[in-house]
Amino acid sequence: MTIAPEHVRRSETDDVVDPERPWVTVVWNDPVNLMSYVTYVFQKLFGYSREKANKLMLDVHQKGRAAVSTGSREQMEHDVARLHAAGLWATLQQD
Amino acid sequence: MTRFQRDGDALVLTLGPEERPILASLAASLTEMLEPTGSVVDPDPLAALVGMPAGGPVDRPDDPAVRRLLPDAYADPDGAAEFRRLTDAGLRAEKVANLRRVVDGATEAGGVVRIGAGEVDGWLAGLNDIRLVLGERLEMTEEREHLEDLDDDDPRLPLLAAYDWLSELQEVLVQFFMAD
Repeated sequence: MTIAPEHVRRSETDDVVDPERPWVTVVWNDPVNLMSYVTYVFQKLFGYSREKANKLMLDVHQKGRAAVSTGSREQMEHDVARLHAAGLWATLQQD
Repeated sequence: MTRFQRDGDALVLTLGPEERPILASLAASLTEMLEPTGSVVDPDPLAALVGMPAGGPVDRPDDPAVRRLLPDAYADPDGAAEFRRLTDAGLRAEKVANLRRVVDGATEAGGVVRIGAGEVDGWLAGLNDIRLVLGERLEMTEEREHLEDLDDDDPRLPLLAAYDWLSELQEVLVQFFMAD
C-alpha cells in the first residue's frame, strides 16, 4: 500500500523557509522496536543496503537518533508518513 | 506454541490454539483504539472513499499509546497539526487494514497462516503496532523487566507474555524475509 499523492502534497505553508536548505527525516530510539525490524524497514523503504541500513539502525540505538533521509520537505513528509505506518518514531526538520 | 515452516518463498505459521484468541483480541482492540475520534465533523464520504484527508483539523490523540502509533511529525505544534490533518485518516486506515490481516490470520481454521512477500510488511507493521501499544501499557524501557522477574500474581504477566511471544513472531518473520 502506498500513500496517495493527496496525502503528501501540501499547501504552501506560512513558514518562511530557505529552499536551499534540505530537510531531513530523523528516526528516534524507542525501547520496543526490534533492531532487526528497524534495519528491515530502512532497507525496504529507502532501498538501502543491509550494511547501510544496519549502521543507521545502530546510530538510532546507540545515539538515540539518526538522520535517515534527506531531500525536499514534500519527500521527507512522505518518508515520515511511511515510517509512521511501519511503527517507527520519526520526525522531520530542516537541516 | 507457534510453529514455523518454509513453503517455497513463503513462511507458514501454525498458531497454537491458545494463541489464536489472544492475537485476534489484541488486534481487534487495537483496531477499536484507532477508530477516528470526535474531531472530524461530517466527513465527506467521497473524499473518504478516495483516501483524501478530511478537511478539518485532527486532534492529537489523548491516549499515549495511540500517540505512539501516530506521533507528531514536527517539533513545532503547527507543523505537527498540519501533518496530522493531511495524513491521519490514511495512516489509521492503513494500520486498521494491517490489523484486519492479523485478525483474519488468527481466526484462520487450524491457525495455519501462509505469509508471502506480498503479505509480510502488513503483518510486520500490524504485529509491531500491537507490540508498541503493549510496550506503552507496560511502560517498557530499555532496561525491561523479564517474565521471570514478575510475581505469579502480577497483573502485567499476561501482557508481558504476549509481548514476548509477538516479539519472537516478528523476529522470525523479519529474519525470514530480510534481504541480504
